[in-house]
Amino acid sequence: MTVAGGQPDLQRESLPDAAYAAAIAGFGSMTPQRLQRLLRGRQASAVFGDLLATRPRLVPRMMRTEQSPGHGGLRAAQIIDAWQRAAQATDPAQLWSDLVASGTAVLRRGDPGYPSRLTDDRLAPEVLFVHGSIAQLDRPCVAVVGTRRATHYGTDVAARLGRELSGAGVVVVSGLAAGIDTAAHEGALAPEAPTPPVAIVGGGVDVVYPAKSARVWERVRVAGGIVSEAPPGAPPEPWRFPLRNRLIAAVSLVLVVVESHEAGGALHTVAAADERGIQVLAVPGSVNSPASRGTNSLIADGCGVARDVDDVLSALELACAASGLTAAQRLGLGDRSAAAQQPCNGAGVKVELAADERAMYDALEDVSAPFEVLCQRSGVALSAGAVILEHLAAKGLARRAGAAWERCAAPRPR
Amino acid sequence: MLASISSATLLGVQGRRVLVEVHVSAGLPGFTVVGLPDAACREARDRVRAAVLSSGLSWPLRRVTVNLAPSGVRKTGSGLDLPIAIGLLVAVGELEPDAVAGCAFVGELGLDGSLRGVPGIVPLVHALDSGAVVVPPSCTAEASLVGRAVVRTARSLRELVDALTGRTGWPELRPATGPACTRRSPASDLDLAQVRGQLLGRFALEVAAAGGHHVLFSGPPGSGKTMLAERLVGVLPELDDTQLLECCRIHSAAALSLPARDDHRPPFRAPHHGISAPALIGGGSSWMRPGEVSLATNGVLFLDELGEFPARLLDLLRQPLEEGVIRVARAGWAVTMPARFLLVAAMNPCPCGEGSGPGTCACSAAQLARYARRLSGPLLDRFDLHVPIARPRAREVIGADHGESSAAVAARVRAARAVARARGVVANAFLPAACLEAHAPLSKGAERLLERQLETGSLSTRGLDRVRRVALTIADLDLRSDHVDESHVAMALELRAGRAGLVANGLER
Repeated sequence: MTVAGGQPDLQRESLPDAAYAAAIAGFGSMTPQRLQRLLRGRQASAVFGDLLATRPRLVPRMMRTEQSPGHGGLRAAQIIDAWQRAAQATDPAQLWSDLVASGTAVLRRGDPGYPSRLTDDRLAPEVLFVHGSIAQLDRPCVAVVGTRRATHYGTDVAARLGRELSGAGVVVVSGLAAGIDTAAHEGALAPEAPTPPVAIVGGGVDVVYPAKSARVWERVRVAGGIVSEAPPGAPPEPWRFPLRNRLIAAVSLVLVVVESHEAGGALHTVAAADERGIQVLAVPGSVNSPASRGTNSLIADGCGVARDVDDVLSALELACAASGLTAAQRLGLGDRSAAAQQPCNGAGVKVELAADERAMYDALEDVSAPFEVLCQRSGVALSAGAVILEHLAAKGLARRAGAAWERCAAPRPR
Repeated sequence: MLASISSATLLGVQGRRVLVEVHVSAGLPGFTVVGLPDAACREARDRVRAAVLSSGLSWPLRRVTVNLAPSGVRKTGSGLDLPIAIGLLVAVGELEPDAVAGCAFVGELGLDGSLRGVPGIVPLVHALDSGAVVVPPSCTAEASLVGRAVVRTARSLRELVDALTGRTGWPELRPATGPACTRRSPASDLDLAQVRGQLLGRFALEVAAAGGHHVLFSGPPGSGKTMLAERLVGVLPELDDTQLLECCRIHSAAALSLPARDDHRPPFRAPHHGISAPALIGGGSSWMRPGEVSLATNGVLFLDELGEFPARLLDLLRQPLEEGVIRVARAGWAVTMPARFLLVAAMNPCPCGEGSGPGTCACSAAQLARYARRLSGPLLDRFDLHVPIARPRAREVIGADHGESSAAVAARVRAARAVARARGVVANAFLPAACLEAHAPLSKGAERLLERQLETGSLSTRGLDRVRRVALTIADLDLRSDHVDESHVAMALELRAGRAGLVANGLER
């Protein structure tokens, strides 16, 4: 294909189509809808050539897509102008060699490595950028998502779910946001959890956000894969996150929301899952905790409940036997009420407590409470209360949560 | 003819002795002042001339040279008007040298010859060692506080000359009433009994007062942090005479009104977070006015809304907190002022104020990071007590019984301070680390508890010393035991739990 004023054919045609797709995906004002309409059914190199040569026949096609009334024609023309300028300024060969050097794979819809569950999605992404490997997306996937402002209870549950799901052979998908997402992946990266996880992020796959999650990003990238619709280097702008949430919902078979505030972003992921007929489970929480208001509302509206990994797995229609838990262990799980009465430490050994220690232990709850409140509840004096709590901590029955104290959640006996 | 008159000038909170030498000789009429006078001192020439003429005395048509010795040190203020006038009169022969021998003079002159007051009389008089000192009438109350010299006054230059020559007697000193001795804020009706609930906060005040530990209250708006902090002064022991004199000197140097004679309460300063750096640490204006940290010496410096203070201001507090003095340098000279105070601060745990419980904070990560940048680790480390304060429940506020009054708590604080004095320190916070082992041996249970904390990383080795000192103070307050017990250490750890609360909110790395 010859082009007036373009680069020599030979050089262009030796580049894979994905290079041009990656270049086009990097243009400004490129939303997934626009990218889909530009590239659907065409070779990316051809589209790139069109833009370079400023072919006017692109404009009517774009006009059909712009829905803003009254501005349709003018806005489309401006956008295409900007793309044409960007096309002239981009060197696809350089871009491609940069991508190859950084280890980023580019997948176009229809390519062999493209996740099968995404191919038929209503708004399937045309181009995906990948670090690591996402081949495991063809295995059973469960998404574990939640609020960034999580409580210790939420991160505990998310980590446990991540670990046990991964141990059961399920791929854990999440967004690498602070709070629940990171906790779920940290659980999924535990030594006893062999299944590689997948993270779907809003910004570029190389843009670590937030900065303190750098270690988790690296671990997920090495052990599993990170995928994004945005080109490498794209900052995590707010408008990208609802789009990323739809991807998380689309690749999974079950969506678990661990904690959400009343109007949290995780609820958008729930909406995306509902649209696609994917089952949503919510983890119940304390009615006093603002971080559980969203999840409790979901349950009140009829969504399924996820108390533990078994609830998730049965939603996933995998038998307990297939996941490796024996019958005896399953039976031991049901007896929760008895365990609550008798304080057991982490090893499941029952612990003897003195009278005032017992009073303080009963005053502790799963939700953390400040020291003064605990002393009032238990009737213990301030001066004695501090040392009693330290004794309980030494026995593994209590622990600090920030400046407050909470009961140590007795882990499931294995 | 040469005359030498004793006087003093103010620098920081110290007075510096100045010898005013006046030399009259033949030559073209002129009047020069040498010895690095500042603008106010140089203007003395016109004021003295008008005052002398208004008093019916004659102005010499000779060459007059005034030297303010030591000549290499800058002289500030208008207090040298009077000694210059007296020196001139002696040099000219109007007054006998014997009449002014052993007498120092400080004061400003009006154009009609009246004597006007100058700021900082207490440190000025403190610096003089003459037997008698003549001050303007408005300054006699402050001058008599020093107690060393005989204080004399006169209403005008004419009256003064008459008294010095013996033609009339000295005017009577007015007794110590009037604006120089007004009661300072905070009002004395602040009592700890007005605080409802907040048992941990009250106990923290008690420990802070007994051991001299800096305390930080952290909690949501409306939880009572400011109320608690204001009542700390009522719980601290009263000032003794040396401390009271030091406070008077500093307040006088800052041109503030002094406390009443019988008011021995420690000073309480609460600068707003919009304060300027010279106002906070001192050094503003030509005579290096002492700042809030000096005015709070021997008392309490309260920083409300610690998160709103600019980081550079909080950084300036490090030297006073470490060394107990503040060194201010300007072009030409440096001055050291005392700055030993008990620091109390109140802060919200995060910009929206609601971050005390987990999951309740509405701030974004960027907002939290910005907030955290202001509160540096080294500054937070200075606080031995870091107490989380929660909003009181309705049951506590309405109809609850009153808590203990300030007087009851103050009595316990006094007893604990007496125990500390027996160890040779003013308060436990000043106990050197080397003496901790000797004076505060730990019981076995306490050792195990501290080991556990060190292992889990919730306590650093620097924090360990602080916890031991606070535990020692708690043991001093606990009359039932005479060694540092596990319960004391556990309470000390609980009193700094607020720090862990900040970490959990992501405020610290």
